[in-house]
Amino acid sequence: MTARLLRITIIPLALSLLTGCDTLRLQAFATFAGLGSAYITAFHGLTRQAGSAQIATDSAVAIRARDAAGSANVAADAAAYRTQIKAADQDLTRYLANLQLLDAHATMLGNYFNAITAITDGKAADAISASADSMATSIGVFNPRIKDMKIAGKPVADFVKPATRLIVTHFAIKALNQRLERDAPIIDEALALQEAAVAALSAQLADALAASLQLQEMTAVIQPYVKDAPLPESWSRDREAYVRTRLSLESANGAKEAIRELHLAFRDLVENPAPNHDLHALIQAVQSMSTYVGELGAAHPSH
Amino acid sequence: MNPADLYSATLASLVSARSAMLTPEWQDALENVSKVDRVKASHKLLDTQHAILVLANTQLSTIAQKMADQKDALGATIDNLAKALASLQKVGTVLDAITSILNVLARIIPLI
Repeated sequence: MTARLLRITIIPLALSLLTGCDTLRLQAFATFAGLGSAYITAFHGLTRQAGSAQIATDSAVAIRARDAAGSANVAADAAAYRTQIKAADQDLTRYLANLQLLDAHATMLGNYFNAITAITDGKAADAISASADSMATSIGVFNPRIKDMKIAGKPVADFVKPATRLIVTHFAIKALNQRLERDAPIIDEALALQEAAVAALSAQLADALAASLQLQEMTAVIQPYVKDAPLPESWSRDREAYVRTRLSLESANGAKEAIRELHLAFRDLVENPAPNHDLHALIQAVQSMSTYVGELGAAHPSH
Repeated sequence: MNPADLYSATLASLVSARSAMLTPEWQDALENVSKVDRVKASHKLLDTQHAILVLANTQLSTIAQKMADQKDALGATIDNLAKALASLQKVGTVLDAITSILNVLARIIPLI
């Protein structure tokens, strides 16, 4: 991811220093679109981790509940436990369906950014422009579904912060200009929805991880230590994994920062003939989000 | 409290209860109670987790009125649960407090 980010960012930024204002804006737009794709890749990792964390927490709770009762008592009360586990499976299915919807929305945005990156060099074939057109239409159709989607009890639309209407400032490349005049409001709305969804999702992920970590500390760190038996060989590694994951919880804001920066950069690039949004902040935020997702994945390979 | 605050407070209260029931202190406390209470504690943990997920998957606007109708009962059970969780060794009191909040919640959204 780091090498990819460097490729996306340094070359266009360096070129932009040597050329005029309009070229600078186009180069910045290409950089933005590339970072948008990098954000989407990290976002897929985030939703995967959110789903896995929720399942891991639910499973850990189920195991804990079984331990508390004792397997013989669970077997004796099988009908009640069966109902509870089936209900939990349905709850998780609904939760994962929500995440899939968000993922599909993000994929469409990523594809759009890829197409736009190709258009910024002014040599895009009609096919690319047509492809971007169809993606923007799909995103426009999908946006209302994301708005109605429920995270933490509220529709995503409730998390969207009010924004002023976007006014597209003319781009020198005709194909790009046409595209953005038509698509900018749709993409702006899609980014606002992503921003809202990530805020809600991050809070849920933190809750699920906290519960999962609490159990991890108890079962892999404390219990083996206080038990009258030799420590497992993996005890130090297990403890390190627990402490590192606990620390990574504090980086959960990286995702929120990345999508916020992406949205701000988009509005600046579209509206401002001499964009001045700090793309380095966006690069750092996407990098931080990628690192966070990577750390979660490393700490919980099963996730 | 408006329904949105009440929703958040209820969810936070359930998450606290789940968190408490995952601690070594709670596990130790269960060692000293009857089989009946251990099974009850086991069911309450699963019920609490279910309630958290159901609440998170339910759109607030669809339950806002019912939530407002149960405002006093919810507030009282949230307070009662917070007090009970402060003394985990009193297993019966904690289980009763969890049962109370789940009963009030069941009047707002269908649980098991």
